[in-house]
Amino acid sequence: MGISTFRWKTKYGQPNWERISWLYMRLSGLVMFLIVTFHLLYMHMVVRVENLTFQNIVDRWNGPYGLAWKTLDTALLIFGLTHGYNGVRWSIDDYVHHRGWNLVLKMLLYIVGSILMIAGALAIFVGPGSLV
Amino acid sequence: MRVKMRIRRFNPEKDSKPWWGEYEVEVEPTDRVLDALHQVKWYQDGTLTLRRSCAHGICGSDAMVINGRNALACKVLMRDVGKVCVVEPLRGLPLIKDLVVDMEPFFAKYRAVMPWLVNDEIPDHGERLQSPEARERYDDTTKCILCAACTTSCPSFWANEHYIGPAAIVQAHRFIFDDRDRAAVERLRILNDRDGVWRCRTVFNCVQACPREIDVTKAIGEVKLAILEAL
Amino acid sequence: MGALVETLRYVISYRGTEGHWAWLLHRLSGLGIALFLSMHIISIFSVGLGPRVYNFLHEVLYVSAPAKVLEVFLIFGVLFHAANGMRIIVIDFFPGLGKYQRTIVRIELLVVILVFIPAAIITLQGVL
Ligand code: SF4
Ligand code: FES
Repeated sequence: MGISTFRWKTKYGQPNWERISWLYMRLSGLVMFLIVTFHLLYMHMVVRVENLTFQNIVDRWNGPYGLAWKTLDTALLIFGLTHGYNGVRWSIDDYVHHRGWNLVLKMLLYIVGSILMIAGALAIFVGPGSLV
Repeated sequence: MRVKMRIRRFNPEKDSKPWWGEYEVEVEPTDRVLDALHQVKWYQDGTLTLRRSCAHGICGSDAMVINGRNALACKVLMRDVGKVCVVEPLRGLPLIKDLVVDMEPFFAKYRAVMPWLVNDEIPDHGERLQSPEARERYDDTTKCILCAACTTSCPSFWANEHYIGPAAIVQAHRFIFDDRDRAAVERLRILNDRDGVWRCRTVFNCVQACPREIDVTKAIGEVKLAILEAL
Repeated sequence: MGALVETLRYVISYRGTEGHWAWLLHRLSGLGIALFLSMHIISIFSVGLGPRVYNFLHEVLYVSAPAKVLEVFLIFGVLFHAANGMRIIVIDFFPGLGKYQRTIVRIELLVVILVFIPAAIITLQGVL
């Protein structure tokens, strides 16, 4: 310790995406306020979690309102995953300053995020039971 | 009233890490924490090191953590701190000795936002006139005394010392919304940095900490909206 | 690592106001929900793998007693994150409202708890 020896940043103003990211968090948050509340109320309070069997999902996705449900689930997937993982990215940027670790963790985050996005999309669009 | 002062001590030449010093003082309820610290320094332990100048809440040199919260030692009354008064140096800035921290990283950020009036036009009347309404627009942020209480109360700053911090944004706000100034866009560009305004998570610790009662988060919010509009 | 521990110590020991604790809870609930969401997507992915895999995962991850208890935490986390997020958005776009933030956080917490209690009771029916 003693008189500071670390280097502090004095030049600010490099171009970056934080402004878009900040705005996106607000907009996706607003959208999700509506759809997640609905999802939560419907699945947990109306249908009840224990009744969400394979058959229940098949009926919903292939039923008369199948397209509406699939649209809603896709929106949940896209907004939830991007909003959530952007939040994790913010946390990594906040707390992990070692350049290498910061990069490794964020790369890992992007890879896992992409895999989940693809997995979710497959489940919704390929159809129940048809991935085997 | 008798109060126990628990003070975070650190002497870089002797100590490997900070320790707690405990001192009993006899004070009036209307004395300030600064008076109690003076009592310790003047009559009990002359090695206690702290920074203060005006002792009237205007120079901004004695911001510290008092009972877990940032404040000016010269503005907090002993009757408001209770029987035990815990005093620590500001957080997130390099510790020099006892209650004195290195303010240079803080001032480096202050300088980064160009805290001066930029205007090369020749004024019409020999001086730049401004309407009371235009002056009112940024009145709140002119009150800042650069004590660093806000910046060092911010979780985003503790987490990342590169975050430019509320104080620098307050100082930028003071010029961005001054209609005589011509460098608003330049300052907004600076504050649009990765470590600029977007690291603010509206925690409001700065508002609570500011001894000048500046609505710091409002100033930051206005700067954010100005960036969204201007860039 | 030492710096991270120091930061967390600061966060816990600072006597901030409502906004400080709301921020902490917002971040924790956010990270928790992101973790849950990752698991949730995997279990939904298993819909593609047919009823046996899906129903098995569903039973373990959502219906078993420990899962039910975790679900209560999830519901609280989502409710709080949603309500607090709305507060942040409103204050972001109307910065002048910041001066009422302490009251706003309290009202928000009240609303969250009022919605949460019946939701928790409904969720735990059959477990308790
Ligand atoms: S805004 Fe308030 S707390 Fe921050 S440096 Fe200025 S006077 Fe101190
Ligand atoms: S000594 Fe000047 S502000 Fe406290």
